[in-house]
Amino acid sequence: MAGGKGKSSSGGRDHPVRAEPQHGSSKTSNQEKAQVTGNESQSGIASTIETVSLVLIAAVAFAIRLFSIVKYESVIHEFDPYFNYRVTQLASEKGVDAFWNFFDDRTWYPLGRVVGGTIYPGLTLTATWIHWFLKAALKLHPVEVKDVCVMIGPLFSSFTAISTYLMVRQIKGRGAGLLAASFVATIPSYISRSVAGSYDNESVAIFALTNTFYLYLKSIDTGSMFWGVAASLSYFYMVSSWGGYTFIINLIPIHALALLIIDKFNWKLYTGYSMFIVNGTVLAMVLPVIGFNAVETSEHFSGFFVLALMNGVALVKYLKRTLTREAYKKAFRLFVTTSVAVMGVVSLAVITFAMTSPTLRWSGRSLSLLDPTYASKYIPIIASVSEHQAPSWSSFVNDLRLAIILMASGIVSCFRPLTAGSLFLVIWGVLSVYFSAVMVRLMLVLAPAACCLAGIAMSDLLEVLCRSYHLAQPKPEDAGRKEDGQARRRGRRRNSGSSQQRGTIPRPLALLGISGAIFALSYHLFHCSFLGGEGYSSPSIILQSRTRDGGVYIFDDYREGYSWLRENTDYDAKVASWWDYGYQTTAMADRTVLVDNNTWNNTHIATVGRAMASPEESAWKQFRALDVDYVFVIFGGLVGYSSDDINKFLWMVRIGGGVYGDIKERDYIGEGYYRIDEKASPVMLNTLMYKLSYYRFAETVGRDGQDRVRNTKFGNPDVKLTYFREAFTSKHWMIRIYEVLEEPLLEQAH
Amino acid sequence: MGIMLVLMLVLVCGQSVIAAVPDPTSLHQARKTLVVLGAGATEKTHSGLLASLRTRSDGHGGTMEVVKSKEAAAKSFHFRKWDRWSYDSLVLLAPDLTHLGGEKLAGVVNDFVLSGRSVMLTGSDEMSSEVRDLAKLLGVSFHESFVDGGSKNTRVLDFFQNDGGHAEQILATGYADDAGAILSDAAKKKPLLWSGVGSSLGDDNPLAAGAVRAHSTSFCPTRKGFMSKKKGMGRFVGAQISLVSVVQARNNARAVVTGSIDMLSDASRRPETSNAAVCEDLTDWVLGYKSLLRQRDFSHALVEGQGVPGQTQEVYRIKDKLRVTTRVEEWSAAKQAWLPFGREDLQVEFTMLDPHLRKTFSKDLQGTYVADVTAPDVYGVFKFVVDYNRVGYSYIHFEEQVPIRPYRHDEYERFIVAAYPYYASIFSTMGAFFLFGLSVLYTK
Repeated sequence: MAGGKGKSSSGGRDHPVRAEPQHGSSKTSNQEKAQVTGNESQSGIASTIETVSLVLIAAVAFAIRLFSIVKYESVIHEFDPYFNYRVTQLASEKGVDAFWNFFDDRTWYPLGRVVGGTIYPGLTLTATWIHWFLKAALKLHPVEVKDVCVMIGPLFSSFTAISTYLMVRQIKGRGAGLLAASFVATIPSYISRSVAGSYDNESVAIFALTNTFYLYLKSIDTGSMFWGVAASLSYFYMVSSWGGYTFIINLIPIHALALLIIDKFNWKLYTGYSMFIVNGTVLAMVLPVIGFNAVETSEHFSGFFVLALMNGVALVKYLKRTLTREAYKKAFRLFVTTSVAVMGVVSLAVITFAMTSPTLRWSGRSLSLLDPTYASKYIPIIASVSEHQAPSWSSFVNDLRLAIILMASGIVSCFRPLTAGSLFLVIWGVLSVYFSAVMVRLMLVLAPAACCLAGIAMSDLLEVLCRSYHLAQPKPEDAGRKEDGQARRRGRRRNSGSSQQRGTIPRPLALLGISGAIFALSYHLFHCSFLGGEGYSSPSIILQSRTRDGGVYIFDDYREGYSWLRENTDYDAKVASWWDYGYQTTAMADRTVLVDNNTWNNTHIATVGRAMASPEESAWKQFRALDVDYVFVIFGGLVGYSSDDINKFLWMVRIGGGVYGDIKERDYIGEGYYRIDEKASPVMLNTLMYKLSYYRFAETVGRDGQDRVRNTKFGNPDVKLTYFREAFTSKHWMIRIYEVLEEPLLEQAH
Repeated sequence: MGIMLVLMLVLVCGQSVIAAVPDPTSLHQARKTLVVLGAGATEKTHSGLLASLRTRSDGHGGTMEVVKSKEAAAKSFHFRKWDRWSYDSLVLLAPDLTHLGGEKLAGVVNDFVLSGRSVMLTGSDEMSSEVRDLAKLLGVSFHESFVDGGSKNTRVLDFFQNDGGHAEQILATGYADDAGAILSDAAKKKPLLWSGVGSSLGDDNPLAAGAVRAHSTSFCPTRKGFMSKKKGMGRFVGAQISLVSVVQARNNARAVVTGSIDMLSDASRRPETSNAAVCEDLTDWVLGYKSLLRQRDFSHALVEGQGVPGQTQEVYRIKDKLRVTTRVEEWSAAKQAWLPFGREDLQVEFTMLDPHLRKTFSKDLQGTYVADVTAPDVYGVFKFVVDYNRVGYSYIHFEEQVPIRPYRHDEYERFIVAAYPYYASIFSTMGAFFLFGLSVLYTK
């Protein structure tokens, strides 16, 4: 029996199977046959509806992410995507081999960066091969690399919807699957990272994440090695795409351990898990960026630990099955003694090994997840990244909306009954809630979990409501209600065969509940598309504001500044700025930068931070020593653009001070707090960053003018520059480029 | 155009500007010198110097013009016209001069030097404040006395090393150790008769040097014939006093500053003094007849490593052996030609943040400097830096950026001996697994 019922909103695929013996006992074999055929024809309609719904969901997932193109233009967004775009261009022009061995001498000057060995190549290769496929195989010649890159996010969101559907269907049935897919297709938290143009690792990684989970659950459900290998291949794609793969390699062992603890061990789990861990680890080691980290760092140890434990359990079970009771008892005692001894030695070795590193072989990012205060205490560069901050409560509601509300209910649903798959969802949900509460970036890991759980909850809810509705239907007083024939037919069948009465409610309430659910879902969708259109489609390189008459005003200063650099400076000129703008400068201005968004070298970033926080003359010497020709700062004081360098400045001080002792944060704090007005500290008013930001600002807004970001007057209206010369200031003063002057031809006597 | 300007090399980005600027040789031959004489009978008292200047100017294909200070100061005199300079070098033998061509002396001569042209500035105890200011702009500060009411200009005194007991007539022997770049060895054999206002150079000024410094017994009285005991008065005492200063701006414009016009006079040109030789060397130097260098034809090529040996590549690999060659030429005024530079202390550095290696060039028979270097085992954006910075010689500063890349993934050595145990373990495991599989599948 293929199982499954007509309506997409219903859950439990095992219902017809359960219902069948009852049919058989009360009816003739002919009737039963008719029932079977009826069911089959219905499942034909059902699967058509299901497929159509799924295709529509995938289409919505794609379409809802196109607002950015409609409202702005087809551009690459934000910061990191610019680097990804740049290497994708390289890979599609010069081949994957050149990309693999790419030594980038135009960034991190003068250190350079070995891109091939430090990048997660999944995204780039995906885009390169899609581009190649469209161009070489389909002969679509006008397709450009940029268009492929822009569309990667929407495309993989559709894939995510499909793999989520498959996973939840595996666990809880088709209705829950479709609902979960529709949630994941439209959840704002995920939209924010995968709109068209947001060409970032996460946009493919979330697909890889859900797909890995689906395949893994399939493998432990079927006990098939094939699915286990498929899961590890999917995991390999995840590893090659995003550093968040450590979530998978820890979540799956935790889940397996939980299954062991609640005594749900079976050979299917053993096969699926060991296939996944062993193959997955070997595959992960192939990538240069992971290499031996896959067996040497603490993030990966849990998988091996659980594997060892599982082998022990498997051995004990085997012994229990084959030996006599007495022999088994002896063997068990012997086994426990030896394994405790062996495990003791091994764990001692592992602990000794871990102790060789000051962070116990945890990476900084992982440590800051385990101890949320770690980064702010020791690694300011991790704490400084906006997406590493803890999210505000409102963002949970705003980004997940209905999903976060239904999530708890979904967890409850997962316990009725608790299967390996539903336990997985529970663990995933609970852990990701914790992680997302530490780092706003990991909302992205929470989003699919919340969607799956919400889908299950909504499906259960609708199932109860619909069943109540149909149960109550044949009663005479309700018969006159308008219903379509199909529903009546199904209702009758269900009614006649059903003996389960659990969770039914009166019909009017059921109707009310159904309409309420439909309203909630529609409102959720409305909210999601509103957020997708308004909140998350801004490319952040182009800014928009509403004018008083309702029109749209575009701030295109970034591109103005970058094109000035590209057109007016020497090709080999070195440009210094805070690291946020490094990727954009290399990609859009095509000039060598000192630091960029791949923050692999804290010291080099600290060098730039220190120069920005130094007085002009000292900063000039530092920049000269680094061969810098141009310095630019982002300044929002004229138009009120709040993510400018003055607001980021304290991080420069902290990061600079973390390496160089002569920079102390308290020197830069004015009276009471960090400020730039008359009560700012004299050190602050003397820094290069302050001078470059407010140079000539009084000429525009007047000496008593206001800085519109800080909403204060600025401390020093008479900024004079000796060692830097203003080269370019964009239309809204958002990007200000300065030339680092040469040494004077003559040295005057004093 | 000033010839020094032409030698100026662009520091950034490893591109030489030589190609962009006309050949310096032709500019050199169109050299015009202006000599400004003081109000008195300088023409007669300094006839020896003038004659020597005239001879050399004519001999080296230049022209020389001599004007009186009064005439030169007037607005009708065109020193700078429509931002074009009428002369290539300037010899000021007029300490009282305040204006030149109607403009303030300090300002106009400062611009003159910044444009890459050279100046010889002489002061005396009657020099104008403009001369003083000009010296300051060039990095040389003449001593000022603190005596109230009296003249600001106080002569340097030496009661031990002097001529005929006159403390003001100093016999100086503190010649700079410049290896003949400015003063020839012949000039250094005898003392220099010097009388005038001393000067001091800032400690942190890398461009100025004392060609002749005072003896340790010399001093400049700052308070009625005596030294003040105040701190910071060290610049008025001993070898801190520079009698003749040489300045070479970063654009290779040259300046000689001395507080003694008497040093150049005919009266000082005695057989027992070196004044004649010193004056000739100083004017040779400032007018660009000697110690003028240019660097050209920098190249690097692979000797051994990844790629075709002998070929210049844009990127080299770590541990590649490279050959760096360059040519440095010195202007010979006598032959009116660029000849290979004779000295062998030219070095090349391979720098990324810090020099990773530094090597002295060796010279081949054609006068080309050659150095073989091995790229360090560090990847990054390196640059070859040739920085020749010797007192008296034109600065040579040249940088060329050369990225050094790490090994490609397929360039590492394969099948290294140390890894054989690992290979053995892999293949034995595979074999064992195969046998194990066979035994499980086909035995009951």
